[in-house]
Amino acid sequence: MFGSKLVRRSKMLLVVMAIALIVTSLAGCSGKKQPTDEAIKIGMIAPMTGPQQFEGQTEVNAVKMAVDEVNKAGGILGGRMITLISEDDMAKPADGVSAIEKLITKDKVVAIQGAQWSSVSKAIMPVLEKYGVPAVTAISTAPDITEGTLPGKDWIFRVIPHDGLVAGSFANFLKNTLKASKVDVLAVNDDWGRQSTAAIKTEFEKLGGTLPVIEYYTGGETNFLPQLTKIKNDKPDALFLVAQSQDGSMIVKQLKELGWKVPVAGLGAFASDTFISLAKDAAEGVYSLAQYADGVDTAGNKAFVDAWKARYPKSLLPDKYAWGPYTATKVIIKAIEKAGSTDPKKIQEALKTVTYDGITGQIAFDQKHQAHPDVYITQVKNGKAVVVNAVPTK
Amino acid sequence: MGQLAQQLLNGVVIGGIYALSALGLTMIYGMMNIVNVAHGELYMLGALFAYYLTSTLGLPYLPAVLVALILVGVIGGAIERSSLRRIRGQTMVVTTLVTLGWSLILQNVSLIITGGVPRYIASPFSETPLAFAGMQIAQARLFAALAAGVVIIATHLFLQKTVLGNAMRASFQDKDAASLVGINVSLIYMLTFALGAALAALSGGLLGTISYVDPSMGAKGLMKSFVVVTIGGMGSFIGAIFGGLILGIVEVLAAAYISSAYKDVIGFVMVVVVLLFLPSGLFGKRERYA
Repeated sequence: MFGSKLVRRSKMLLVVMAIALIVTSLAGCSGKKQPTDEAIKIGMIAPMTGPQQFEGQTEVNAVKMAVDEVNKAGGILGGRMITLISEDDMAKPADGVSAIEKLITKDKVVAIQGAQWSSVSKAIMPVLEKYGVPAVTAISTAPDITEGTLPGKDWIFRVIPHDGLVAGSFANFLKNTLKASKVDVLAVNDDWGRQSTAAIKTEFEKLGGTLPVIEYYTGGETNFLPQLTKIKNDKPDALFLVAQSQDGSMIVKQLKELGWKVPVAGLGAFASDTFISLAKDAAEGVYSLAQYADGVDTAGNKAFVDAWKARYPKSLLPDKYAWGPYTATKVIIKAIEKAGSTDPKKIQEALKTVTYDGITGQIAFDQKHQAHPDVYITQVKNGKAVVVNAVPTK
Repeated sequence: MGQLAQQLLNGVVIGGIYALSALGLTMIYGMMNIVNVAHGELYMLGALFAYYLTSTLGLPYLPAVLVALILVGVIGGAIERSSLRRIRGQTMVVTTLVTLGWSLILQNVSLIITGGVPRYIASPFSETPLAFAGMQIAQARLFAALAAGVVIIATHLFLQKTVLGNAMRASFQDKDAASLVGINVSLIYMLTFALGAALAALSGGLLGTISYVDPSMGAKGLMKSFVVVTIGGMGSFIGAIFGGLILGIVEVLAAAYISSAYKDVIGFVMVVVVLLFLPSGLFGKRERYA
């Protein structure tokens, strides 16, 4: 009796000691001084769970692809490999902040790709400043990330043209190409949706157009009929949408439910294979202002699309969620090479002057840390987003 | 005035679908006293199975929904047999936590298996909307609403008029007496939970042609269902019907005439108002403190 108890206890003790040993040996790794041949850690945050997890998955895949390409080619700074550590931000500002804290303080990453959602990017900026670690964002298009006076703006760089930069060309397109003077809006109710709507409104009214009905919906909404019914009743010349692929697909499907044919122009993901494959016939004819489309005719893009297809054969063609984070990651790696160091402060300095010949053209940051690649006006024809024309954002 | 009529039609149709999606939740609560937090995931599984059965196995839409409903019913039965049975009679906190655990498991397993790509179930209905009296309604949506009505009535009749339905109600009224007259109470519990799961799956299958299917859709469905059963009264069938219709109509009217950005908030404001005056909802059983 007593003996068996003792044996059991000592066995337990052994197990506990073994676990303790493993834990301490793991913990010991981070405490040691880093030798120079150690892997360089880059962090990223993206929504990996929740309603935006699908885009998040694409973002993570894109960053992984960029990192693997560099590692396959022998790494950087004399053969050092790059390790990617990704964290889930659920597209929520609070979760983004805690994910960034963890990446910087626990994982000791030297730079960050992200955040993806504008509201999350704004929330992490002060944290970046606090620890002095730079981030390159690729999906957040709210103008005030680089335009405003938000705390921490010195530590964030943006590879995608923001909504203020593209609003003018899109307003012009609505007024002069679509010949619409009365346009109604349905936009997602967040920073990005409200700011891009405001930017379009300003530009469109300059050209003499009006936006009488502006409706907002909650991201992840499934029933758009109330707003669409209201807009249909207003009889506009065109409908302007601000939405990501899933929400966008539902909106155009529900437009069909109301039996209403109206020219549709969208900002968001309306040129993506994802949107088209979801919305099917309902996507036909939809115009989009896209920072990227898989049909963009450059050598860099052809190579990128082929590499993407080879690596993710089951997934859809790359969209801006693939192009953006991939580009941002390549820019970060370029900056580390330029800095010749893994010191975050030096990487931030290098980012200011780094140039990268990307998928659709050259990426270089201006004084405000904003890059200026072209944007594209596309239209869905026979299930493909065809580039109607390219618009410079300089 | 054309807009108001169209909006009301939208509201009634979506309300019918809300009612169906809340039915399983309210039934499991009313009979088993379990707040099933995994209800949304069962609804999501119904939609996912229906999607795979139509797209991969090429089943026609309605048989696919039927098979999905049976599969999810079996999963529901397995959940009851494996975990809920062990904690029968425990407090609501315990049962809620266990179903919350199941909700997380089902959501993440689906995410691993399907990769979280959003999809629509291919609809057998024409995309051309039906038009009458200046109003439009999509055929798939109308079908979902009508099916919801039929299923709600059928479930009610099943519980009231059939031997099995009576056995179910008897087991929950008085477990010991039911055992004495030869009812296998454990089996009845399992069947009840399976039925609740199947009802959730059915609404997922019906909605999957209208809104996209992905592993995170359950959470949204659950929120709506909770609002519906709280307004209507936990455990009440008639409450689910009225709760669904009230929520559907209030939502569209709020979106059309107050603010579309806050239409979900308005649903919850309504819950608070109802609870202030009727703590157990419109048709809920009044608590008696003897």
